[in-house]
Amino acid sequence: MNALMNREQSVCREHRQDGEEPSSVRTRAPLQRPSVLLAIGILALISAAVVIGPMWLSYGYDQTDLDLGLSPPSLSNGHYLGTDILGRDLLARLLYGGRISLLVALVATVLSTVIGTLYGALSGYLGGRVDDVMMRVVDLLFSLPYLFLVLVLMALFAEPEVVDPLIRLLRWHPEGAWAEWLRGPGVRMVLLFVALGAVSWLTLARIVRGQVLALKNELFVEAARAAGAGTWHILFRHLIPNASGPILAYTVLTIPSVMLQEAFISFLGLGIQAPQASWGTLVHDGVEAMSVAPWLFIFPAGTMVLVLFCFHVIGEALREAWEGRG
Amino acid sequence: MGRYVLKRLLFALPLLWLILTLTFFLVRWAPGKPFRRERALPAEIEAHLDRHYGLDQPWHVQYVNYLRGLARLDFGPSYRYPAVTVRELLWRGLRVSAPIGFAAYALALGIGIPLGMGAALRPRAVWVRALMGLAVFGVSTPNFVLGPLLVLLFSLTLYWVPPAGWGEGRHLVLPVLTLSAAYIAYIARLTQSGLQQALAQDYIRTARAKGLRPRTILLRHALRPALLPVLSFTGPSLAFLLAGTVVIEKIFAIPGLGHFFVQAALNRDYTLILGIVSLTSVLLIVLNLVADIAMARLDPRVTFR
Repeated sequence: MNALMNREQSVCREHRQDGEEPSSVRTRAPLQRPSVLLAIGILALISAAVVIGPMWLSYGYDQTDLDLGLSPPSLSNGHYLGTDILGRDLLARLLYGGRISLLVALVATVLSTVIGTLYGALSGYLGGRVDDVMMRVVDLLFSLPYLFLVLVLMALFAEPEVVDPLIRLLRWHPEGAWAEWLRGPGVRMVLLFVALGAVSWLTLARIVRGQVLALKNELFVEAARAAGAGTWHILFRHLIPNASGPILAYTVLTIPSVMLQEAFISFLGLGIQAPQASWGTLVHDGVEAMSVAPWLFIFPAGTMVLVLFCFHVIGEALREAWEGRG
Repeated sequence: MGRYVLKRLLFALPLLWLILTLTFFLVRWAPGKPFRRERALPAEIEAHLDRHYGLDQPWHVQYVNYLRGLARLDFGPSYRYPAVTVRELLWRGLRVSAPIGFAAYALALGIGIPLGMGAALRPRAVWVRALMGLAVFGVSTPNFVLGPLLVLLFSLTLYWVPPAGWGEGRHLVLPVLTLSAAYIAYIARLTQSGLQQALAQDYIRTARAKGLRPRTILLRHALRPALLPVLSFTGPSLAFLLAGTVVIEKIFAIPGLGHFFVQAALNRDYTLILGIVSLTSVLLIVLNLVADIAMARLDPRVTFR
């Protein structure tokens, strides 16, 4: 500890020097960083495997083989990552679960980006009392224990009749295959989209509002207004495109956080249900069987952590690029 | 000061009311009924149960009764375990969850602050870089992966500690470690950036010009403002830790509040759900308030408005 404090003076000098010359790593464009390129490559590979992989496999995600239950990873019997307790192929389940995890993360993120951007842009552009009220609402929502509310929502609302209004809205035939799917496994996915999308937009709304506040008194906005452009035209054509940097950065950062929340909810048994799978349910099943079949835990957990980490690397690089420029 | 506290309280009470009302209606509007199980009950028995618990009354009467009960700290009996009141279940859960939460947060402070100081003072040292790398890993690994990983290593391979259970001191080791990992990383980063900022201030130069010892400068002058962000982070995190962490209690089979909450949600135990959400919200609001007031007292730059 003493050595620490003796070093303190020299560090102070170093620190001031750091402030004078901006470090070169900070300002490098995200796409020029090897770590970002590697992360994009890994994600592209995993996405491709998840989308087209199941077509190549000889096992379905729900195909059981009780004679081969809990067989370890092997190249000889075609179960490259082993099987679970019911003899279902882990690779098939991992890829299929990846489809659901990625789908939930992407849809909920798009939803939250749309809500957050619109809300923040409107609040910032309208300004004055409207802005005050809209931002107070965001403050209020920030202090809700929303994870508890999402869990309550997932536990109590996963009933077939919840999606009936949606089926009517989409004009699907009530007895058709799609409606059947939506009433069955679809309910929980729709609830996850809505619940996670609805709670993830708050930070983005604040950031977009800040951007719009800074931009709305610029000359080009005034010129547009003088040319007779309406509020929506100015918002969509001038203000939101100019804020696309931070919007993109926070969208990419929202994906892993939504994905993590989906996995967390599914891990607790309140999300995706068997025989469907997501990475969260696979980790849960893996934990249950961990003492006899560690591969059931290691592969899904490893895949999920890798994907989360890659999204983080890309998102943080985009955020730093935007903050470094501003 | 008094006015500041009053103003904060005036903001906190509507917030509490909003959370409680939102939860109440979320639970009431849910499809299905609390006493409907896989095996259907005869209609008369269901009607009798509804009457007994006041569920046959119009929603506004139920809502007023619920708020009245809350004011007396009476949450009613648990719908799933009618012999026990929700208040008793909350107390039982809190007695299990709170020690784990406190221990985890104390550990996080004890490791996170020195680590953050090290990172701010010797950013290039090998041990600092290694530990900060580990901290990044701690943040990006979800705790439902980290927990089983620790179990796999320390219980199923090395046989040092039991993998799950409750009742003895050694049962605490893995849950507390798992729980604190993310907080250690977060506190270390907060301390690091806070201390770096503080050390670049003019008053530190003044202190050094006066000839104070480096130790005094660091501990008296630099560390105090550097730890303010940690303090404001403590309010909400401690509230969530005390209210039980759902995942940790599931992994390690701990009978705490988080475990009760998941069970209540799965069992449609409406009164218990409402009770746990109320308790969490109150903890969250009170601890946030305490942290803000403490911060305002410690930081001379903050003015009470």
